[in-house]
Amino acid sequence: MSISSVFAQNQTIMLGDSLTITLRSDDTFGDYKKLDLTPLKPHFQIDDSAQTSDRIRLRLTPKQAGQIEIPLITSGGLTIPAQTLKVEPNELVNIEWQVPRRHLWQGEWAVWQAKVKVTDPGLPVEMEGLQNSAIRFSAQPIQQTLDDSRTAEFVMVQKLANTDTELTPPVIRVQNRQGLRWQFFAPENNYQIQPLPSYVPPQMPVGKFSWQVDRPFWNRTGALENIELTLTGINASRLPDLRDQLASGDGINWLMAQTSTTETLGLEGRTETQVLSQPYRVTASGWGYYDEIRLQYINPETGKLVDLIQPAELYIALPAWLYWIGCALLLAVGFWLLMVLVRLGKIGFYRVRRDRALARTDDAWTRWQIYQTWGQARGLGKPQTHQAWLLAYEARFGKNSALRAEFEQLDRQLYK
Amino acid sequence: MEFLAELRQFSWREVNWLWGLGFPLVWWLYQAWSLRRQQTDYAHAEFWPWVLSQKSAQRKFNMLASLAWFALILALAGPRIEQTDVIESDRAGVDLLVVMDASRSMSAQDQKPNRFAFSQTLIESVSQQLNAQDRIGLINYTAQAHWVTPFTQDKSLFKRALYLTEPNLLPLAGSQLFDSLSFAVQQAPRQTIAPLVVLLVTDGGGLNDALDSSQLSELRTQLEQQDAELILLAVGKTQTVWLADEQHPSGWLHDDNQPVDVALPRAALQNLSQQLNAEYLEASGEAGMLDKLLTPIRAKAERLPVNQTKTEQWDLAPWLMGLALGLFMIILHLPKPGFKRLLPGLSMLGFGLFSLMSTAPNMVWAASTSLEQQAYQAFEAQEFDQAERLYASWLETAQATQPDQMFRALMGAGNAAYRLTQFARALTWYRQAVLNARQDQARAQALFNLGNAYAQLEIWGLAVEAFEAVSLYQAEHVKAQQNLTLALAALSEQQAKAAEQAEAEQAAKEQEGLRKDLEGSFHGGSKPNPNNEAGSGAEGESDDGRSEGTGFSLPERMANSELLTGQDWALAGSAKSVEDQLKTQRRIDNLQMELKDLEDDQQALLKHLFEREAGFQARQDKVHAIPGVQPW
Repeated sequence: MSISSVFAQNQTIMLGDSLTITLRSDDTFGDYKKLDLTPLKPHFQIDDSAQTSDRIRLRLTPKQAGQIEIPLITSGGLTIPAQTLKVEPNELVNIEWQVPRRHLWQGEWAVWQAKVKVTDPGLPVEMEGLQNSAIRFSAQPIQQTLDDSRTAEFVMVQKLANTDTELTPPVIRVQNRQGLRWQFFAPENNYQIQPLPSYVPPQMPVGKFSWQVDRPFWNRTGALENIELTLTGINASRLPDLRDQLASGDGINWLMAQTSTTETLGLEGRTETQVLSQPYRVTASGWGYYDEIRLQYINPETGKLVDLIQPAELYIALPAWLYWIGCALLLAVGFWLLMVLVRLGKIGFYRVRRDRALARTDDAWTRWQIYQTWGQARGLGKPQTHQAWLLAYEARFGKNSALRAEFEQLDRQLYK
Repeated sequence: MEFLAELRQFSWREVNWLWGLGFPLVWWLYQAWSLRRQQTDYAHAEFWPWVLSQKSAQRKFNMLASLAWFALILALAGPRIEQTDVIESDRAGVDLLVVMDASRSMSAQDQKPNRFAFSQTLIESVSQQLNAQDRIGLINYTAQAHWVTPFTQDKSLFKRALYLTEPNLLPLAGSQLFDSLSFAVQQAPRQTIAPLVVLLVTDGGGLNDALDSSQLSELRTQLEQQDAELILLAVGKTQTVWLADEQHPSGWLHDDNQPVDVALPRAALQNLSQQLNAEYLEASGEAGMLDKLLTPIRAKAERLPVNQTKTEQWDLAPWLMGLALGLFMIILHLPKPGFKRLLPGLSMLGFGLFSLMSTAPNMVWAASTSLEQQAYQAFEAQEFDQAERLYASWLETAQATQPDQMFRALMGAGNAAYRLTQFARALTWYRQAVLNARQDQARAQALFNLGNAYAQLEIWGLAVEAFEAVSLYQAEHVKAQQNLTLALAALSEQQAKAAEQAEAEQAAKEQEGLRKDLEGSFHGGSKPNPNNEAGSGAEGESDDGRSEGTGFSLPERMANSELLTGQDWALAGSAKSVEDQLKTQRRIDNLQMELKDLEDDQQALLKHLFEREAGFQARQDKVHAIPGVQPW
């Protein structure tokens, strides 16, 4: 005896909804083992966990909207009849999936990103995935905007430890107003995990890397100094150990480096940041070179070997007294430059103010007042006659024929 | 004679800088030529004595600038004189016991990166400066003191133990300075074999302003009884600082909803050090800090008469540098009108110095180039064995300096090995070259040659991989594309043969099984003769000893050279073993990587040891506060 009824009752469902089919026969479990569900797998997420002693309940959740043709599937006494099912889009929930590339590399982290737009902002949305050490996801949105509708962004990453690692896409669950949960599964891709090329060592990192290296140019001889390297790996298989490269350079006493690593989940996936702090003492005054630092990795998108290189850098070590004198001198020079700049600024300001005022008037007396005001600001004092003013000006700034002509004209206008 | 003997002990730190001495000569020549031209334009030679000024500012500048330049170059070259002295006395060893506060307050970040890590770095520096016979031990304390490592002469062992610890690792929270110091002074004599120096590293945690006089006198008595020298190293700043706490949303440790702040109680610590006749020092990163720490340690040791010689180097560079700076300062004070004219000269000086400094690390280039030439000549003369050796030795010199030299050396060695038909060796060189190439084109070249070497060994799978990879770095590499086609064809043929062979073996087994069934008896389990099986080199049995592989383009540097002879294919039979070796090597590499990834959590073991010492049988997730003791 077999039962296969649910399909016939409802030929149209909405994306996110599930339908169930109960299977029962004289040898339910024996027949079920032989039941070939392959035709259903591209279209449905199949959950067969609901089982009793004599029946199996299949829960089928469509993966995408559209029309699904289901062929007749039989095994012993079990039958799933051939039929057509129409899956309509869910008008309340829209999900934009970004799934991993088809060609992936062993060791890298595959990234799924879901941008969920819910027209009813009150509906709770969350992401679910498998819980194990190779998978990271945040059930709550990493980023969201709340408006008339709600947009929430989720990310899940999975480490591809081996070439046969099975990718387990995440699911987005939205609780609807009826208290039921809609389930949306990430589209599946025909993934292929490639091993590392044989011409690179197996410890070659895969991912995207960047770094910031801070190596002091000025050092005090014998004093404790610190080099800091911040290495960031995005979806990286591993962070390479750069301590040996960092502590490389003649004439330096290298001390034990200390590292701290943090891991965060962002929209671009899993970011691992390592801060490497390398203390050292330069043993003798003079100059030297920090050695080159090189990080080689495989860029998963291009498959190419990429070199990240921090070239050898010059450093200078001075005795502490000389270093501090130099610092004091630099400070003094800086202060002097600042004063010069302020003075230049003031001179410019007085000049602009004077020229603007002169442009606004032709009255000789006012012009003379303007010159006097400017002269006072520039430290010429307040000479009472044109001649005295000109003398004071020329004693300070040198001869100026244009100004002399201007004053002759002022003389003529005022005392004609 | 003494002068000559001293001259023999004279050496340079970086002799290549001396080339810079020639720079003023060029400048002088230019100046002389320019002056002469000016004079010729100005007047006939017979009038020059009347028109030329005796001493111009230019001449004065030339003299001073040249002197300054010479002094600078000589300083950069680092002249040094070795002086050998007879050491009349040396010291015996000491036992240095570091007693270090590991409470939460040591995680305060007023010292970078924090008080504890800063102290670790300082102690590591001290341990490096100790003599071989000195021993060093470590005790960490919070509310209770624990031995981290007993006295040891092995400074690297001490270093490892030192960095296994961190604040808040011990099971009990807080600081009990007196009890811990007392524990150290009581425990240490059981292990000491030399005068004892106790270095107390503290931020003043657990220290009250009013010191307990009975505890103090007891401690002083203990120290006197043990004849121990105490150095108190204060870590931190007197300004208050909050303690970090990742668990708290604010990022700072809170107690009663108030952030916890700590400051170095300098006065209390100074008072304590006075009461205990201890040397008081405040930790800093300055150069003099180590000497301050080491002086009392060295002073504690017994003096020993010895008859040893000690060689010291007297560095003359600082004196010359000082002279150069002085001269440059005088030049800056030259009359201003002349200065503008001198600007080109000064610019040239600056440019010359900068050029020298920027090229200094590359000076080995000149020495290594001749080795490359020799290797190249040997290669051209078809002395491939010699060429490979020369390239290998060039690699050793190039390795430390120029990456492009390293790549050329690896490729050269690979090509020489290839021509020697030592394809397995060529593979090793080419694989290194792939990793050491800095440009895409170079990497493509190395991959192409690697593919050829694999092809010669008939390891078609890897050859295909290498030829395919070439296109990643150089899309229009025609030869690689041709070879890829050939390699793919050979690979599919090889796979077909393997499948055929497997089928034949299966059929033979079935036949054998049938026969055995028929006979109904067992004939001793003799296997088919392995010699009858087709080897991997069977396909190369053409008349001239070649196989399809002769269609492969040779490595790029030898494209126009003559083709390989028939004997090359004798190696084809050994290709299987090379492939096996490669697989084995890959397995070893993988295992090594997995081994590295294994969690070697010595810190957890140490933590558990401390927990057991504190009376906890099970592992503890958090530290425990003790009533009456501030838990940081």
